[in-house]
Amino acid sequence: MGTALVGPALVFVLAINVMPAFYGFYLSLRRVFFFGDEGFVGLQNYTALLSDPLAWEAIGRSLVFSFGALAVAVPLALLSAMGIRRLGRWGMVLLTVVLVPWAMSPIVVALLWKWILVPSPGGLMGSLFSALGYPPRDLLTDPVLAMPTLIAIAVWRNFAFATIILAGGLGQIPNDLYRAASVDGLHAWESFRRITLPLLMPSLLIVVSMLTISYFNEVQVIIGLTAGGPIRSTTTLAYQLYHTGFVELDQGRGNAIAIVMFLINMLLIAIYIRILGRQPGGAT
Amino acid sequence: MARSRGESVRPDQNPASSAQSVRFVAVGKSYGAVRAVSGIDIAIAPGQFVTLLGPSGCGKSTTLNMIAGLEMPTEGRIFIGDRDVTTMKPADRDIAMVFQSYALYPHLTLFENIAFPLRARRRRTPEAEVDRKVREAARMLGLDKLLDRYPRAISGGQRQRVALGRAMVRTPTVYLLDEPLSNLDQQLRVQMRSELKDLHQRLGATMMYVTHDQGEAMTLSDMIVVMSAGRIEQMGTPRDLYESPANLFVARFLGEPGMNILDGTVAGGRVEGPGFAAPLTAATGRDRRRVMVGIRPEDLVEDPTRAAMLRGRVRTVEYLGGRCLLRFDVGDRLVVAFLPPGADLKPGDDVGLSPKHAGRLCFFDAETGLALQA
Amino acid sequence: MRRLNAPVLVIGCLLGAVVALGPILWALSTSLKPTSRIFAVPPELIPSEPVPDHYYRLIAEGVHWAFLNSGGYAMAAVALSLIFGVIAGYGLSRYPVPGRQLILVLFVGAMAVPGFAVLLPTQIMFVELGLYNSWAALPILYAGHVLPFAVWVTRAHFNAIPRELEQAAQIDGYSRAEAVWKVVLPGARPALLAAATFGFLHSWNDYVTATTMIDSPDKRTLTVALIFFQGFHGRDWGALMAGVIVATIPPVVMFLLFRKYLIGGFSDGSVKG
Repeated sequence: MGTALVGPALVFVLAINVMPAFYGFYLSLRRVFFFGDEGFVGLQNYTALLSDPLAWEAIGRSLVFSFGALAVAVPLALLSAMGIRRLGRWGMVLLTVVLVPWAMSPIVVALLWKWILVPSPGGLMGSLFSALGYPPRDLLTDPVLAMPTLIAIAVWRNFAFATIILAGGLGQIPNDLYRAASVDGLHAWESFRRITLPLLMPSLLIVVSMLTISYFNEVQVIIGLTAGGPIRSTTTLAYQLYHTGFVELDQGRGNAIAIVMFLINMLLIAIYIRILGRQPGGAT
Repeated sequence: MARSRGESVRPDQNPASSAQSVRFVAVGKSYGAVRAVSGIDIAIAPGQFVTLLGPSGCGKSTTLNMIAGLEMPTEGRIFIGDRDVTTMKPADRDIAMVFQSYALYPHLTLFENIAFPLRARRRRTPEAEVDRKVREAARMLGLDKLLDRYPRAISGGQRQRVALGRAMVRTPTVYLLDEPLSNLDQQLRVQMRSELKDLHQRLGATMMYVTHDQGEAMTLSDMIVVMSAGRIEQMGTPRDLYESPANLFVARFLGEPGMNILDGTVAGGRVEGPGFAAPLTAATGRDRRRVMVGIRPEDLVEDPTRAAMLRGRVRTVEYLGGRCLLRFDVGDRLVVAFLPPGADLKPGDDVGLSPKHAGRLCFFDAETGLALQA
Repeated sequence: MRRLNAPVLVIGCLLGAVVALGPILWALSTSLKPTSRIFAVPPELIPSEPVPDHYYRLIAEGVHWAFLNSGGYAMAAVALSLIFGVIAGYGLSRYPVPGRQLILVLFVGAMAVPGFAVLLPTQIMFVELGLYNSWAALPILYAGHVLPFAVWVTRAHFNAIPRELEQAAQIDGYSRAEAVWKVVLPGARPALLAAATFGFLHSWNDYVTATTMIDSPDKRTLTVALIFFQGFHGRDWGALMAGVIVATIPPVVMFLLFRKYLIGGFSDGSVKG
């Protein structure tokens, strides 16, 4: 009976989320161009990919993008989660407000920021530059500044999602511990370091792994804002996959990238599940 | 047991069946190789209040669930009225059940909770009648003013009454009550116990009650079924069980504290053991047989004479108001006795006690634990 | 200590609110300005003479059809994922299922794998199956993406609903299916709303799946239509921001209405299991 109830959903999930991975592996061993299968080529797509310095650069940019965003998002989320706990009822209002960008479409976010960053004295960022005495500058076409700009926008879009989980984690720390700590003479910083951080560790690890996966696969914001440029400076592995597979339609090679991405994702998820399973009352 | 499936009720039991409201015939339940209950034969007359009593894990809840249809017996048959319900769905059995957690529907008001069984498609009760029945039940239970509230907004005792109300509107053949008082605090529990007794008398309904609290069982029941390890130890009125327990388990389980039990050996019309010598009032057969002697704490009185049945050393004396509880060692056994509050005893004193009269002694076979008859 | 930090806290919160909402309000402001005022220096934060022209422009370009498509896809995906998800969540919660531990891990894993990682083989698969550029393609894919979360969060809620409630309903004269419908599902309302909201947001907000699975202009989603619009009228910021606002209102309203359930679903579903 249980199997009959779970079966349909299981088949559905396998068909949509798992089967394509295997099919992608099959395709990655063939030469496929513009939906035309030109036969088996073995590991050629992989060897070509791995000997391509551009691919390694893309992986490097993925790391910069993911860890850069993580380094901003996690402290920000922790800070806002603590603020939200402190605010009580108003905290929920604040959480709702900072979550609004997360509820938006990433591609719409990209359009919106493209307008904000327009290098003109009439644009929002342009007038900010003018006010500070600089000429308006196009952050998105600057090979050095494009990546940090993308990181900032990616963080703006979804760091609050991490705040939900951290605020939930903070809520589970008994208040008595803080009272005991203040009786024991610990300062605010000490009680943060000795009580909050260790007890929040499970939630922090979850947040870190979820955000890592999310940033590693971020593609829509990049498509919308920079299309990988200028001079490839924002071409991450995810964007490379989009470009090779869907724009150049080199689907054999694209699938090889997809498999590499899939494997990296699996690794990240395996870590995530391990973390989730290790905490008491965890998922697995 | 499967072969009895197609047969009708055995003729010798047929005449009785119309006068019985629930009947178990050789019912058992196994989970794989594990036998949860076995050999359950119970017959309950209409209007009786019957309690299944036993420690946790004794199979009493499983037995109740089998009447409810929440679990299926793996052997034997169950009858409600004269219908064989052994494999029937719960909905078809004409029973109502009050759960330990009350199982009130959190998203429905009290009115809707009580009306819930009446609104089942199979009953198609007209709304006017639903309204009348719900209000009548609510009045009986003192819930009239709360009907628009939700379960989370009322107290534990009130939830208990709603659960009863939901059962009452059905006018079922049998009420099943699964430890319904155990989630209440002590004071409320005693009060609800009396209300339940009242309700049983006013409704004249058959009720089957499960509890591990022997006090509840004694005060409420017309008949108690004592269970342990999946079997029936003894069935009877509370008084029968208390005064003539069929075996050591029942003797120890009933009473607060339970019956004192001493090991002894038969010798010349007496039973003797370390620290005691009791006159035999039961047929025991030959000398040197090992038997156990039981006596209830309230049946002992202080006896300063040399003829005292028990001799021991006082361990503690607990003052309880109307009486005091004496705990003393007889040989290597701890014995307890209720004495008048003025008893002048200190820990370490030597003390002698005797039964109020010899008829209050019980004798058990040391090997089987079964009572020996007079 | 509380008093000491209060001003810092308030300033931080206001700053957070401005940074989060400011860009969206700026887009709203732009979308209501006449084209001639959009690049005014200094910028007008509040349009001095608001006009709805840019919104009419979107309708003239037929973007409202894409809006309806997005709504239809999202609702179909939510319905599909809820039906399959509730049934599976109930099965996992109430029945012994062989390999259940493995199944649970699979669902958690599938919840975490972004659809994008397997989008390319999916596209080729859909081309071969004839689903590419069909009306069914997006609802099926979105439902597949949302389903693991739907199973997960409904299972967690079913676990929290005492079995006795169903038993009581069965004794009260209802069949098991009726008991689930009348007692279990109302009790799991928060989980259903969380899954539905998440499903709607995911489907409505997607761009990359829609742009790679749909080719015909009449089947486009709103996000794809906006990017096409940008391609043709790249400098028409007024209309583009009108599009941004139109695309933002449905998910943000859904989020504001059901945020309690959504936030609850994420914190129970992922942290407490």
